[in-house]
Amino acid sequence: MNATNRGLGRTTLVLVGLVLLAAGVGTILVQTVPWAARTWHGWAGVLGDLGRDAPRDASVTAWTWVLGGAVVLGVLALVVLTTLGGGRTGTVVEDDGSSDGVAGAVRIEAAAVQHALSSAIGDMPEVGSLAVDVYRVQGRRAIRIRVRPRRGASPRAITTGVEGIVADLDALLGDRLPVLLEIATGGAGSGRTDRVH
Amino acid sequence: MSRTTAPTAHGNDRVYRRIVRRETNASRSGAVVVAVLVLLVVAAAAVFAAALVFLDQRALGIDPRDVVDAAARAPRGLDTTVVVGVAAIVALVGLVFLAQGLLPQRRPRHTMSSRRLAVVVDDEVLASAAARAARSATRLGPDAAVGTVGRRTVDVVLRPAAGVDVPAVAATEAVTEEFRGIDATPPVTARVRVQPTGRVDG
Repeated sequence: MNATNRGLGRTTLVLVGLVLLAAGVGTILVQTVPWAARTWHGWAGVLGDLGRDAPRDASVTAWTWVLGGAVVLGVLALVVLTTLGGGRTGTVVEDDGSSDGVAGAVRIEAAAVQHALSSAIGDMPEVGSLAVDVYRVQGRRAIRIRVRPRRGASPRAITTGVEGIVADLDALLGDRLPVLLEIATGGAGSGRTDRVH
Repeated sequence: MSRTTAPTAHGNDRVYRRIVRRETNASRSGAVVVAVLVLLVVAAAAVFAAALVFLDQRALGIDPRDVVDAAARAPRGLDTTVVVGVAAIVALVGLVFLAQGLLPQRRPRHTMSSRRLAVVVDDEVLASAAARAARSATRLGPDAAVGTVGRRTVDVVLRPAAGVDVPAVAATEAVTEEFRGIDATPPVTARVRVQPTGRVDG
């Protein structure tokens, strides 16, 4: 639920994959199949200026193009890298109350909501451990509650309990923020069975 | 995930659809990082080679211009085994990236209906809930029931101690009832089997 741009990531994977696959298969063909080698020699004239026999000026020009292309490629790669992850945010509600014409602004930090939800949900007998984070999704704030239940706990019981707690939170904040409840395995407490049988 | 049960909170449907789709499909960020690193290495090598040519230097006794000439002359003067081997590895890596980018990858998760929340559950949690439901209907010990959850099925295997009679129908009903309450998407149907070979330790 982080801000990773998955479309861009998958496009990068497809492009890099296609280029590597084409380069590998092409090299194998050139090395083993005579007609492929002839075709390659037909195209390889383009590489002449990059070679040893090219005049100094042509050589510098050609390698400058290589340098420029490599720099552009590297910058693009770094741009893709920066789109990964992120999206966590520190505020849940930011409201200057302009609709009522009252001066002042209200800002609720994520930590307040995290503490409130953690203590309320942590008291449920089915819950082994939990984590609460606030993310930005499509320009809105969304809360992620990741619960690691005790062994054999009923997901419906957890969901119902969290629904009740989130309803209280809605009343407190005066806004229905999108909330993701993630019931996951592993982590502390999940190996033990319910405290209540 | 086109057919998720859209939770019916005010105005949150679009956000919920996006969140649920992202939580039920695997992230490719690991593969993306590797692919980007490959690109960066290639780019760095090209920059280094260009710098060598500008300065008329050699690295490790190799002039980049000779490498280009050798490539242009291929396959003359190249060792077939080495070239084909390296090229095969490159092609394989490309194929892996391509598969990562194109094939759908689901996480072993289901979504649950809720009036207020978007809920995703790991299949392991569902399996352990199914095992607990079956066990409570049969009064077996804690290790006597094992649950497995697939995309559309939940299998519970009961392994009672030798000589103990197990009400398999009641267990099936209990599991079905549990999953009616869970209301997972995609829907799962319950199946309970009693392993005929009883254990002795029971």
